[in-house]
Amino acid sequence: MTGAVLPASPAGAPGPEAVASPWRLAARRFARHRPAVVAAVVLVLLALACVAAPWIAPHPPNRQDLLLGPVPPNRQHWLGTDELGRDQLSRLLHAGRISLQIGLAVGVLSTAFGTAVGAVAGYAGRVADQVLMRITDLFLVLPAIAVLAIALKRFGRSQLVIVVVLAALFWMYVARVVRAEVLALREKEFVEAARAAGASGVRIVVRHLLPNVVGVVAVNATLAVALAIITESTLSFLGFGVQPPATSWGVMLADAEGYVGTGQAYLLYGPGAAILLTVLCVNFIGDGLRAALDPRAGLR
Amino acid sequence: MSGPGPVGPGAGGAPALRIESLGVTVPGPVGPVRVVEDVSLRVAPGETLGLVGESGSGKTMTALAVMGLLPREARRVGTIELGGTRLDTATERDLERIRGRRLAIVFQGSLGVLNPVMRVGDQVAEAIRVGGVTSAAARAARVRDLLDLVGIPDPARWAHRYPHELSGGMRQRVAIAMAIANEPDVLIADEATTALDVTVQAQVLDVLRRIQARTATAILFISHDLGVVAGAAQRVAVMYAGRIVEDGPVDELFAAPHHPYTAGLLAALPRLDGQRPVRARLGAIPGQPARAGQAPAGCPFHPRCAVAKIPDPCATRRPEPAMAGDGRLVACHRAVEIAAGTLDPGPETGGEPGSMAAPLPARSAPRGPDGEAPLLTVEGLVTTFPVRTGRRRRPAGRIEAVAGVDLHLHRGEALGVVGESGCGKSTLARSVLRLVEPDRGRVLLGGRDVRAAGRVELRRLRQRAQIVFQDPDASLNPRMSVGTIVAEPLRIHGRWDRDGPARVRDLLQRVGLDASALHRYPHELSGGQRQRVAIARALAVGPDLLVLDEPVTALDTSVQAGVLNLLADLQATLGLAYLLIAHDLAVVRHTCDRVAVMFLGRIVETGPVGEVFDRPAHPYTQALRSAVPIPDPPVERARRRIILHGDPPSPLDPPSGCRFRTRCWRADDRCATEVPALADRGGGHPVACHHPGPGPEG
Amino acid sequence: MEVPGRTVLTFAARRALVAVPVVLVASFLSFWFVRLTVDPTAKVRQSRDPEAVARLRTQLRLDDPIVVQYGAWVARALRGDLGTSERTGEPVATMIRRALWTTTQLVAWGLAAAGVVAVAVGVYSALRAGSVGDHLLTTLAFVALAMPPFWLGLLAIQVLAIDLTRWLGLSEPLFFFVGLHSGDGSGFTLDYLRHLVLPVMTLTVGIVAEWSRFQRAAMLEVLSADYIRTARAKGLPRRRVIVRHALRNALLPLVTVAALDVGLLFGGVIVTEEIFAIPGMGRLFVDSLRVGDAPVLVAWTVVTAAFVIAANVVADLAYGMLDPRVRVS
Repeated sequence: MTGAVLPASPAGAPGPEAVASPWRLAARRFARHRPAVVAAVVLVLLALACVAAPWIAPHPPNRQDLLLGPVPPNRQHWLGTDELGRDQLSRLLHAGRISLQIGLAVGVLSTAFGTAVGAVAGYAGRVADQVLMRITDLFLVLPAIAVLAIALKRFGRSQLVIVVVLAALFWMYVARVVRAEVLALREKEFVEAARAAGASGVRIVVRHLLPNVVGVVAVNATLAVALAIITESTLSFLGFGVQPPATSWGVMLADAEGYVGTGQAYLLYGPGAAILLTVLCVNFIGDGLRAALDPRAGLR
Repeated sequence: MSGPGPVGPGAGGAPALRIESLGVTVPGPVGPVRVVEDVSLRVAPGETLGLVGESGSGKTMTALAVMGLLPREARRVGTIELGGTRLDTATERDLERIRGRRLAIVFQGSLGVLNPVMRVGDQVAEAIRVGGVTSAAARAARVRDLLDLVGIPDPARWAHRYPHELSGGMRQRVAIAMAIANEPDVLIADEATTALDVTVQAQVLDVLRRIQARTATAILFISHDLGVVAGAAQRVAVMYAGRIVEDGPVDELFAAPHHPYTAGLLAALPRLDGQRPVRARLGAIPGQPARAGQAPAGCPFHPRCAVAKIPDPCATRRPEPAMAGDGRLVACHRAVEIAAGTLDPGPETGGEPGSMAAPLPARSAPRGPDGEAPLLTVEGLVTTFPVRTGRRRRPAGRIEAVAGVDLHLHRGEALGVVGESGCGKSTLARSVLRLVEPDRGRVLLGGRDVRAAGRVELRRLRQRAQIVFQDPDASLNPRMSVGTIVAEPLRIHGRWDRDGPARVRDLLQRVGLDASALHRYPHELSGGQRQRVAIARALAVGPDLLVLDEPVTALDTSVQAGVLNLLADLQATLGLAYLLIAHDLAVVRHTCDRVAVMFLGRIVETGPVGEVFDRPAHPYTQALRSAVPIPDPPVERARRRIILHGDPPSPLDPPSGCRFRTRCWRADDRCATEVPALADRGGGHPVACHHPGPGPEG
Repeated sequence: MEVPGRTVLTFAARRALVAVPVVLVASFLSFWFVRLTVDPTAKVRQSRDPEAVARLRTQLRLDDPIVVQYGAWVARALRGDLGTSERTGEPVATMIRRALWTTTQLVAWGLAAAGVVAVAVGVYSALRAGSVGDHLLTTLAFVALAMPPFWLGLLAIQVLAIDLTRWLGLSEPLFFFVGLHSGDGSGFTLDYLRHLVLPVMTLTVGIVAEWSRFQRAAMLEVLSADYIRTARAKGLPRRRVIVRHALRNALLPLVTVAALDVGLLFGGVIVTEEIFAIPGMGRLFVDSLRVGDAPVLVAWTVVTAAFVIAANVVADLAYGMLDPRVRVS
């Protein structure tokens, strides 16, 4: 019987394996992507350190020691102190909490909302689709920083507000990408087959479209988080974002700006490197996800 | 091709192309893979050698090796000689000088085969410049000559166009023009006609024939289509898993294949000329073609071979090619017995393990009009699409994909709808099921009006008619397991209960799949298996009607036969009605009771298969039939072909009156003003033509 | 029969025409957005004089429907009057004109430099895909994409201007980091270029990384296309295949991407001009937003929106001229 002879998995997975679901294969491919795995580990450690800041920071972040003044990095103060004598390492960890929280929250919110809207618009098509496209088109015309800065000035600067305002803009990018992906999927025959079998629109979106969109969504989620972190730090740097006494990495850099070219230039490196490291890790994870879920690897 | 060329390998004078022990290795996921192994071929000047093989056989790699266009990571061994020049030892610069001049290739046609941002004429001129013509004026003149030679009307005008403005057939002809610009000694045609409509294919083959007659070019004709090769080649070499398994003169090889694989391929072909009893079991070769690097030890074909002697020697020793009389080369351990006639290599006798070895149950004659009402009635169906042009995608008119179609189908009957690309047959299939909304007309399924059905009624109707698509890759959700896919229709219609899993297992077995497929995912299955899953899914809710849109087109020949057998089995045991859409007339002849021929949205002829295909009355049907290659070399050569002129009319701007008139040799003024109705004009079956009658082939 | 010139012109005209309503709507929405978020009477409110507030409200017609307000604004704008800055008292039109000229220089240089570098890097990486150089460039791109641009600016000043000068023992920095000209200087001089290097670098680091990766992918895709195989099979020399066939197709997609990034650049200048004290649109924005200078902000958003849309139209036109598949309509 022709079908009785089941072949070993096609070129890719060596030898027959128990259940080679697409998800498991993807997980395996991710694990093989070394930069992504390393990045994931580093990121988790960094996040844990920041979350544990109140307990592991060597000094209270806001304690001033005017007698001490600014000192370059030494054994008591690994990253030195600023002119108010505040320990930079402690400040870095506490600031990291805020920056990471905002970044992650914006990433999750905007991805969730953007995916839902994009999927519906892409599948339902025509009116809903056009409306979505026109609205997002218009918002994409002005530079994001400008729009966000203006909005933040109006609505206040609490962490919650910052998250909401950023997410309110970012979801549009996600929605556009998801919409494009759904439009492409909609024409695929397995969707037509589902329709021919009598499946309702909801069923098609939930059971057929969304699972196949996951790859794109995951990658975009990482991009959103990365972008959110950079955007928040930029806004804070300009003075439009997080306000003292709360601090984020961007705020720390704003403080450090005045010391470029002076003996306190060391204040620059810590927060900037922290942002760089975080975003780099997030991007590598995104790259790993892309490699894991890439349709060209034979899953679509 | 005029007359039999030099016969047998090594016979005749110096070969135009000589390949000796060619091997190609490419890096694979778990180590290097031999995609071509120990291939030796010879083509004499003026001769056409057909190279036949399915996917994974290594034929394209062979062509690329000759051209020196292998991917960077590939390694090659062996000798390649063009005339007197060694190609395997030549430097890249030498090769550049030879390519396009003494050696040329035409690839499988696609939209991307020509540079999209360069004018057609400029691209042809580039090829001419390679040959050393420096004067721009001389080049321009030669471009026009070449385009004219390959059959492009109004060459001066088309030379200014861009590739996307040309049809597939025209692009392929331009590709040929570029290849022959400098009258090469050897021309390689790698599936050059595969992507083309059958009538266009006939035109292109005609062009190749004329060119070869003029310049004595040696042609290496690579194809998976045995019918085309039968008419085009004097000698044929068959490749499997990177090796040559048989090589010999075309007539003898087709009449009495010595290698079980060749025999299998021939037995798997449905025949247009009625040489095989209707719905007789095709010789399906079990399994799927071995991919390079996955070939088992010993003879690569032995797991699928009908006459393999296991384990010794077929599973342990690799057979070497050996001369087998009448100028043939065969690589088979049992070649001697086969050649002597004491052993039949074909799969029919071997049978398939575990399957119904008996021929199919005789089919009772389909219910005629005197029986009950038809299961499916279509009247005056019209489906249009808006035309989107430019990037702004503003609709600028509508295409009538289906322009008024009537048909009917009885329970248990199989109706085939044939036509070339753009004729609207796929749209027709989708319109009948309301996957695409028709504009006008009536569709009655089991007496109920499909078009007027509301959401609930439509859902219920969907249980009575299901569809199987062409591309098994795209028609299964890659993230769902086979079991889930097949079960889904049951869940949708609320028929999933405790018996559900058993029912799914039963369905899978019915389509010839092991129960273990339940947990597999589509990417783990072969094309043939995926198509079986699609069929199982379609059968889940127990429909009366199955619409099949090109169900076997995407499958290899040997796999295709298995699925066709399955479809015949199912029809016999379940009493299904089929609406089979296909461009392959032979498939329709083999599987269907009746056929409807479509052209540009209209049905031009319909009737019982035997009648329509043996005695076609409509000129288009005649041309279509004439263009379909038959895998019987003497018959092929003797045929009088109808070669249509020009290109198929565009659906955007169909001709007035009879839409076929611009290509019809019988057309007159009446054809331009009056649309011929589909009616019986004395031929025994309905024809839509003002001048029906027998064609040149009778 | 076919007159190529005319088709291109009609295409261009049609595209430009479509852009006008877009500009109107976008500018209206920007106007509305700013009106909603930035209260023009904020400063006057501080005087606690209700009369003054009421007077201002009537003067600015703040109680009229928003569309009317917009209409009035547009009418005045077409006459060249964009209002007066609350912060400096200058006519807004003058401020914007000055700032726009400065920023345009920065953006133009940025686009040019980014384009050249990105194409070079992308094409090289594609042709030498998998090599050490390719991996190195990819890693660099990753780092560049992860780097907050303003930090790069500060680092650049610290390392390339200040530290470098010290290490090399120079009397004045190699690269300047304040404004675009020294003192009263103007025009295209070496001094000008030395002022440009660091800001342009800061501004473009992100897009160079993005474009070069994109170009690499586009080039790789083109190189594996069927028509490249055809070209090689014709016997064309490798260089001609790459330049005439591959590049010609691979550069096309970058045009679209570049157009979409103009908006990004206008956002980037906000930070870059702040760091390098360049008196352009970015600085204008920050200064105005800090104090809530409504007239300037309104004009700023409308002008920026118009600019970005115009850039998109230009890119569309360029693409339409380069890709014949799009032209036919």
